[in-house]
Amino acid sequence: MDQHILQIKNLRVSFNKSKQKTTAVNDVSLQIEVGQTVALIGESGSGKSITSLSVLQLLPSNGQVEKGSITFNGKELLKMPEKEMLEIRGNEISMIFQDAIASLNPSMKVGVQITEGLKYHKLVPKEELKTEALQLLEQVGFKNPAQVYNQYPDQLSGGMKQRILIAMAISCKPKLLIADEPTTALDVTIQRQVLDLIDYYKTDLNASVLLITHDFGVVAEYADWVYVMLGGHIVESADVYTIFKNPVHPYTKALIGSIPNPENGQERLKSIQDYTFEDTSYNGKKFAPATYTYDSSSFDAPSSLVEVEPMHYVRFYDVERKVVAIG
Amino acid sequence: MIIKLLKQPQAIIGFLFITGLLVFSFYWPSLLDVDKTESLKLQDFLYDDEGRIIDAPPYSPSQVPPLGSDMFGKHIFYQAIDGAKYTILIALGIALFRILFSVGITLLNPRSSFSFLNDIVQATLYLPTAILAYILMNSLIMKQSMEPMSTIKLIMLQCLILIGVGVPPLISTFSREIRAILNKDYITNTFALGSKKVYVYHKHVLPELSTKLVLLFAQQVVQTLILMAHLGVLAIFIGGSAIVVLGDIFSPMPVAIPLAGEWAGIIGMNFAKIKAAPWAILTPLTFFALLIFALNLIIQGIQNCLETHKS
Ligand SMILES: Nc1ncnc2c1ncn2[C@@H]1O[C@H](COP(=O)(O)OP(=O)(O)OP(=O)(O)O)[C@@H](O)[C@H]1O
Ligand SMILES: [Mg+2]
Repeated sequence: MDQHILQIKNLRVSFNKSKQKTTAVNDVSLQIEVGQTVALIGESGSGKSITSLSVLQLLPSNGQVEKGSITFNGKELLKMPEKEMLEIRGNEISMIFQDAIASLNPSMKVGVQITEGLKYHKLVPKEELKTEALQLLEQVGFKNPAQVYNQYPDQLSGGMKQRILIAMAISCKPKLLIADEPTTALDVTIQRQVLDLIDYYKTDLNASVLLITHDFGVVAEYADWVYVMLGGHIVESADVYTIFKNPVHPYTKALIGSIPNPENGQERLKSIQDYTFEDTSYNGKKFAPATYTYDSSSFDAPSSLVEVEPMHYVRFYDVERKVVAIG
Repeated sequence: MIIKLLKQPQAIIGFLFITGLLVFSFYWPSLLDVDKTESLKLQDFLYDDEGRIIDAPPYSPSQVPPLGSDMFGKHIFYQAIDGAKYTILIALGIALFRILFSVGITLLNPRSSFSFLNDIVQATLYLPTAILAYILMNSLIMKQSMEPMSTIKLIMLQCLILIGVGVPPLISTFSREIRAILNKDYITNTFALGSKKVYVYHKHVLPELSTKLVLLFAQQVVQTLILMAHLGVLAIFIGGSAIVVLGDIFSPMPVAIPLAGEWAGIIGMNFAKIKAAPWAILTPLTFFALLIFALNLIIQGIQNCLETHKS
């Protein structure tokens, strides 16, 4: 199993919020193989972005990794000196951020912003930065690169901004691309373009993608492997066929049930928030969490991932261990 | 930013007023075609056409147009005009150094919230800066009366005090601003591309901060002016003062005379005679008010720019 490009093991991240500590991500393990697209799916606040920011070591200043390990190509990132980390960011791992509008500096020309990564990593000589930027713009589908180069982010539409972000992220040809909900704000046709662009890049360079989303429809189409996240925990993981054929955790089922269906558009509006799980156990084991919940408090009782069939993991409460703890 | 500011009429009016006042303050003798020393000389008595004494200072505005005189018979109007340049330049300088010092200190440790400092600032929020400055300035003047120091040194120390009392609240403002910028997504994005901190500050944080800096600078000028006016009332003058005893032997009245000609000094010097010669205080106060009004016009203009920039 040496071809893992990224391996996260038992990651725990917590935040200090007004002198109180909250755990945002707990016991998250995840791996990505070379050439794979791995989806991380879950509702807002489940800890997807925090997991990916931990990889780049760019957590907000009040957050810290408490436990676990993150290895990239076999190298431990959590213990890496900042200087080496600078070499990895943008160059070997890069990230397409969730909020395209906020992720571009409104007072800087997009052409200049695109080449920032190339400049930091000194990959092309200064004189060629502009040519390179124009090429990148063309690569992400702009028909008038020279014009876009001189524009400010405000002058572009949401889909265009998202493509600018992609251009920035792929400028140094990284081996791992983390795409944090790259299409949330976009309409359906543009969603496709953006995702196809990422997919094309991946295939072209045999790179890997960590695709963060809350849309199982996207997962079905682009991912090889799926991790379902809830309340800071992975609650189910399997390859994409298994997940769709035989979802076990009620939360996964609920998410799959909420895939937008063009025929009955009303249906998808049923909010998962109101959802109470019909099944609470599987083969005598109790699902963790037992009900749908936003926060991590329902994980106070110890739980762990159990292999329900080969390469298919679901989170259950460790009842035995709990009993031992009380005794 | 500058171009946008040019589209704000009130900012232009404010700017023109201040520039005009400065120019006038430097060139008023030739602009008004009067002799400077003659206009600012002490005038012990007023004589009528036949050389008889008709009055002693302070003279009212009708006796000495346009705005009367102080208790030494010096024209208030000319004093105020001549003092404008000192007042404006001192306030600009103090505000500038306040900004420079506080930005510098904040950038030493930009991620820090300077929480100890915030606590101090919170605690002193309701203690007028004028009192703090008064205490410091007063001890400086006491020291000076015991071992005289050169005027330059005195002015420097006084300015340092005026700068210093404004720095702590500014540091907490800046650290808040800088942290707000650092938390923006595009900063994270820039870091995610592998940029070094220095680059991020140079290219993203400082440019973003700069518009805010202009605004804070203008606000600091206003605050400095208010502080100077307060200190003037408390008879603390920049450049120090000489004590002159007026009145007669039965009721001696010591009066502090400012050595530099700025407005706060005019106020302070005439404060004791507020009933006899209200014009001597009202004039510099009106000038203060006009200047602050002009600055507020500029501040309003900058704020309008910042808002249109956001949307
Ligand atoms: N700076 C912060 N300080 C404190 N808590 C934070 C901070 N950033 C995130 N969190 C907490 O961490 C948890 C996970 O946040 P995260 O941004 O990873 O969610 P997400 O799954 O990416 O959601 P979304 O789909 O909305 O992007 C949330 O509960 C949030 O409250
Ligand atoms: Mg997120």
